[in-house]
Amino acid sequence: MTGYRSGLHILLAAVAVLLCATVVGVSGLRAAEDHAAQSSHADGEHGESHGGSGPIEFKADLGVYTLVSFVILVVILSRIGWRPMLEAIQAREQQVAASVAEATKLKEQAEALLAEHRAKLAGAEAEIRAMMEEARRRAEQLQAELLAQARQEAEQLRRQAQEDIARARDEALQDLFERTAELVADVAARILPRHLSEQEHRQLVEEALQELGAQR
Amino acid sequence: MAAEHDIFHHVKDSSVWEFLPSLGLEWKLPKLFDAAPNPLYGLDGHAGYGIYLTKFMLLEAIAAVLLLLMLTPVGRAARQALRSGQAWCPRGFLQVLMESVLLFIRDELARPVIRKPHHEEGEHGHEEEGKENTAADTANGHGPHEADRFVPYLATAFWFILLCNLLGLVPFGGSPTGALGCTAALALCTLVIGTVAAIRESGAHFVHAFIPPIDMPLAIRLPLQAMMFVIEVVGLLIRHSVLAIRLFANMMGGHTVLSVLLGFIVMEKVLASMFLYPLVASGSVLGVVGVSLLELLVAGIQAYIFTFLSAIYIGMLVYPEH
Repeated sequence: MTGYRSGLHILLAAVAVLLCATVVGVSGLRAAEDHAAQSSHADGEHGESHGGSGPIEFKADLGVYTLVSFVILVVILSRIGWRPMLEAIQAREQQVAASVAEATKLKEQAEALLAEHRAKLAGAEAEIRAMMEEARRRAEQLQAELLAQARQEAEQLRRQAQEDIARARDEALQDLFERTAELVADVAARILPRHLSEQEHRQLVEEALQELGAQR
Repeated sequence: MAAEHDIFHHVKDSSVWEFLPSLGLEWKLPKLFDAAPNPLYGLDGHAGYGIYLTKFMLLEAIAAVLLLLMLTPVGRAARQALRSGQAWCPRGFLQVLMESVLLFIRDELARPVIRKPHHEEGEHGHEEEGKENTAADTANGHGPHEADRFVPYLATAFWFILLCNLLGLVPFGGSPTGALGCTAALALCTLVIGTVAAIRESGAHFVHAFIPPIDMPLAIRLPLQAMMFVIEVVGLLIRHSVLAIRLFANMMGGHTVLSVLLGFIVMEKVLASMFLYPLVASGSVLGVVGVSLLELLVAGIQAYIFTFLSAIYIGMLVYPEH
């Protein structure tokens, strides 16, 4: 931008030189053709007569005027209009490009996130299915276990009952035997002290028989 | 003779601004300062010699003031947007108009033709690619394109010429661009800007643009290159002269056609005949309407062509092809 500005300065300098040249040329010509001015002054009264040289004529005054005013116009318009506009446009373009880049990045991120979540969701579904399966399996297992346990308990109860019955029976039998033995012992004790002769034996038997008979 | 004279009288610059001269409605513009009786400064309509304010000078000033009025609010809006840090969104007719034309000049005229040679690697097929590169460069924040520094000049030239051309279609107005002095000054600006920028760009190597490389022994090469240097320099000057003459001739020609068409009405024979007068008058008015519409088109096209060729010539000088 600075290059352009100093270019304009050079242009301005060129214009100034041209202007000076024009002025100098004009005054020089005036001195040289002073008398001609007076002689053709009469013609000048009817200005149109010497303007009829056709349309293709170069008028230096209009040229210099245009050059100066146009250069001034370029300088002023660049300063008040074109340059702020170009800068604003450029800033806008950069902003738009940045926004597009940002949006692209965000979109990529969103897509990655979406894919990730989809995968997660699919994973979760599989997990849920596995969990359900597991739960069902466990329930079944539990059911089987409980059933087995119950069966076992029942069996145990039954066995225990049988054992109890058997034990009670044994006890009762034992009791019976014991009491029989006691009776036998009692009988024997009663018999034992009289270890006697045959006579006594006979007597004893008779006694016992008598006893029995008495008991009867 | 009267008719022939009239034709150019209304096309040319004058120190008298005629509105309705038959009613005495005309404005004799003031003399700026005295000058010698130089044929260059002889002006119609005034007694004596001197440098006069002319109709075209005033019209150029009007165009300049119009342009200032058009651009000031837009520039203010752009600056405001820059200051606030927000993206500039042009609002309203004026902002949209100025912004879109400026963007067109930047992207379609300046950037494709003013660019460093290494941007275009291949032939025409790569042209689009190069364009995309330049667009991407700026978008990526590589700073302004090398053509952007010329855009203010090109935009000013476009609008100034367009307004000058259009002022010729306003009643009582005229086209300053229909005078060689005006267009020559504009073409000179293009030449000076191109030359100055080229010297700034490549320094002393600037001259090499005018000396094509020739693979020959020195004895043959030197005279050949000397001749080609002259041809190149003359070509440069001719190019810019033609730039001035093209605009001038187009505008002058269009207005001359209008002048001739209207001139038919005031021909003595026509004025004298009761039968011929309405016929010719209606015919030429219709013709003038048609040609004026055409001139509207030409006004835009010529402004565009001048701007485009200016960009090309600047590009040729600043970044020569070899």
